[in-house]
Amino acid sequence: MIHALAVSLGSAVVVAAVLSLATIGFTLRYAVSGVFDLTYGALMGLAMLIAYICASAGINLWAAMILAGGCIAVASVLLERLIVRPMLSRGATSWVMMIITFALGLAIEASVLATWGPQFTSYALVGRTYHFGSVVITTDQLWIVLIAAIGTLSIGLLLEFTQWGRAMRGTAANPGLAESCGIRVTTVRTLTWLLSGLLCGVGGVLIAIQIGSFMYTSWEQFFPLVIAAAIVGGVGRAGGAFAGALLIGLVTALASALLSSAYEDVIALGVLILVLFIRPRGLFVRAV
Amino acid sequence: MSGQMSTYIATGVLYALLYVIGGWGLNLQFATAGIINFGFILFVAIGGYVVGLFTLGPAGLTAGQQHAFFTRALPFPLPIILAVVVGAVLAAIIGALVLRRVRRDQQAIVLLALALAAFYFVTADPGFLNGSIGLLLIPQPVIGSNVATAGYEWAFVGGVAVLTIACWLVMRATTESPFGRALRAVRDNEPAAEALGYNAFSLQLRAFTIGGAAGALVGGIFAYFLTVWSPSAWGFAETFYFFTVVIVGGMSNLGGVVIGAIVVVGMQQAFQYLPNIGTSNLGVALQTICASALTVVFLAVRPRGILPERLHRVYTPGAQAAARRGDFIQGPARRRTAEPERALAEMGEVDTNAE
Amino acid sequence: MRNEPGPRPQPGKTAPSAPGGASMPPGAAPSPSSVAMPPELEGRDLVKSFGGNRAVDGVSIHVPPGQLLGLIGPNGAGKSTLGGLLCGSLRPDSGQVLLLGKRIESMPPHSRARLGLARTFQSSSEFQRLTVMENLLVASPLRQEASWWRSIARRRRWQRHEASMVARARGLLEDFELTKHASSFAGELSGGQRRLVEIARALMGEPTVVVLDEPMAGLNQHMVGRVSEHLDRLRSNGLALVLIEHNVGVVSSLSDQIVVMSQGRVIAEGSSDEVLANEEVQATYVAG
Repeated sequence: MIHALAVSLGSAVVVAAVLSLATIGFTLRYAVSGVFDLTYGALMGLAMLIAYICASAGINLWAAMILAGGCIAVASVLLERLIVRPMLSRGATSWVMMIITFALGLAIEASVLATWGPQFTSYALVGRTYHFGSVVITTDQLWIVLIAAIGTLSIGLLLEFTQWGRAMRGTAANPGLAESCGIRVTTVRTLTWLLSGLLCGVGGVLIAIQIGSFMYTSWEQFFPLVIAAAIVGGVGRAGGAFAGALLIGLVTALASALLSSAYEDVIALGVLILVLFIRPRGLFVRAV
Repeated sequence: MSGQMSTYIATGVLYALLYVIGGWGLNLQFATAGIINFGFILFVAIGGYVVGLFTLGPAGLTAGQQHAFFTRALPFPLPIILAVVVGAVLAAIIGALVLRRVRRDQQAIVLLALALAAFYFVTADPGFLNGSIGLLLIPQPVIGSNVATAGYEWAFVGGVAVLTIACWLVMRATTESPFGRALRAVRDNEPAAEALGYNAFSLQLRAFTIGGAAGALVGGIFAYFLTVWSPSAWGFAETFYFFTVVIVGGMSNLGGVVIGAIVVVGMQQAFQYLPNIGTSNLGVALQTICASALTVVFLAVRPRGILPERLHRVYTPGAQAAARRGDFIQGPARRRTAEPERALAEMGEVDTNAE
Repeated sequence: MRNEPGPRPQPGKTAPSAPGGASMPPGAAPSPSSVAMPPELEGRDLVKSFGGNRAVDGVSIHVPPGQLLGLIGPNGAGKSTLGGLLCGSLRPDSGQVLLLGKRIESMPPHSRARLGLARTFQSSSEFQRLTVMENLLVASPLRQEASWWRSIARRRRWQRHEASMVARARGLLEDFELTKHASSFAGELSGGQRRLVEIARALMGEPTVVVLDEPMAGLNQHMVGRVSEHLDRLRSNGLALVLIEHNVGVVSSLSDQIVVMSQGRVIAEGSSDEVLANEEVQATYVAG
């Protein structure tokens, strides 16, 4: 029993790590533009493929991951500039943006499936496996946790202590006030989407590494987890996003251990629904 | 007319009719009552499964080596009636929870999450509704003689057409009435409607239930037609198509939904027959991309749709004849459409007025 | 609703028969002496806080039938909050609200409306995508027609009722000079016209008690006069009215009683002469 719990805890940490960067990226978009971006998942999938292409061309996987992140960052900026901002300035409400982003996500997915095809691929990973009792950890999982930890910490420091971070938080809290304080809100928004895109890409690649053998549509399994983590943590708050990722990681790991891994998404969505019923602001948010 | 051509056209017409009925259901929930039901497909799914479960029976299950948590073979038309009833009941339950307890801007996410969770649950548990394979070999309703005749398709389509007209009468009576007007008032400004004595929750719940019943009807008919009902038939992307129908065709306009259905189905059928260049998914891909592009463009440029909301009937005092005609109130007697300046913001948050 | 010009009912006179369909307890027996009649709208010791701020701090008011109570005070005094407490959009932290002698503070707004309470809102709340005529029709006292079954099955009945409601609505539209806008969508009218639609809508339902939250905002002099005349007629017909306003001139000419609020408390009440001569009122109420 303890052993099973230890295993669960271990995989919970890994899942949480895998989710954390992606969740923070997702929540930043909502924080700064008020958009619940359903294109995000499709972009994660795109990053997986880009990294694969780069890695197959001989580039080191971790560098490919950054490269993929960069591509998605650029794509995100285009998304924000060409679609999100014009629609918002016309007074589009949240459901309109949800439909639009969902439509774009569908279009991206359809395009990729048509050109790339639905075959499974995987990164050629060479890693060693370590055993702690009966708990198995691979080097890649260790790398994932490390990258996630560093990434989260850096973002946290960025948001808390740098001028940019403060500008982002200010814009998220009150754009009008931020504007009158001299913060160029449009630039902050663009940069936030850039950062968020980077996180999206890196997060996507981490997921692909974790799954091992993936195809383009594999992001569909994980996107509900990302959304659940974001909402549970309180959409719009980076710190909450991390806590949300931890909680969802824990919950899904337990679900996998007790039921089967097929139920991960159901459980995560169940948690999401429950949270929206009981604490719509999120669990890890200071009460107003 | 060749058999293949006949089937092609019959299928197209059927799909259009189903999108019309489903579109009307979503339209009532979304455009008239203001409930953003991103989980609409859940009701379609329910309808299909009820029909499957109540037509297969234990014999049907074993024949297809399938598993379900329950089944019973009932004669036509009981299964489809049951589908509508179950759809309505489940819509009432879901609505009662979601509409009362969840804030309006988060209802959309909760409903989306519900539909997604249902999808994942069904695919994860093969014993519940036969997992991702779905229910197979669903026997079709027997009309008169042999099912496999060429005329059967058209008889089926004819039956659905009659059903569609019946739905139209019900929908029109629902929307052009004090009930419909009350719904629109709640949609436009809930606190003001409440201040006039309307129980917003109760009204929205009723609209949600009717819409859910319409969705279930569509699912049931679909299951009969396809003889297979699997999660791929009601994947989340399908809700998107229903929204496309309503947004492109015309929000809160019954005729608009018809136009939207014709556009969407026309597109789907056209791409169906594109030569397969490159990988086999091109046809499907183009279909999706076109639907996406269409929706985005319409939301950006003409959010009301092709046939926007029209003036609704008002009954003026006067002769019975005039009342039956439903004269529009005097004034600018020409037909005008609802185009307030901020066309997109109509569903925005309403200040619950507290100071 | 018959427009009977006449002297204002004196306390002690028989309660006038309720216009329209609102239920009223069998009227208090007429008593020759000036015994206070059960007030039609009353608030007792109402308290409401938002966060740490006491917006309404122990306020009691009562409005007998046939009286118009003016509620004035500077911005932030808590007038609209008090209005919300009386009408049901806010629940008091403590205290009671009585309508026709019945305690209603735990009743939702739509139940209060069915007892005969009508209100207008401070910010424009007309139904934008309904025509002006529909705005009025939706306020008709026959709300039970809005049942789905009756709408489908008993068409003749509601069509007949609607026809008679249209006649009433036309009368109201004429009073407020909105006749030529009957088929326009309410959202397309000017600010002042939308105000009038809202006031007319509140009156369609044949209420017994009306709470008006800054109805004159955005109206020109002529319209202010028309609305005032209408309110005066209502008062003569025995309605109880609460008028929250900034326009002190209108309030003083219409009101039987004035209550002045500041920072959540009542600082003065009485006839308009008494109140306006009060030094504390003059000191705190700068808006004028």
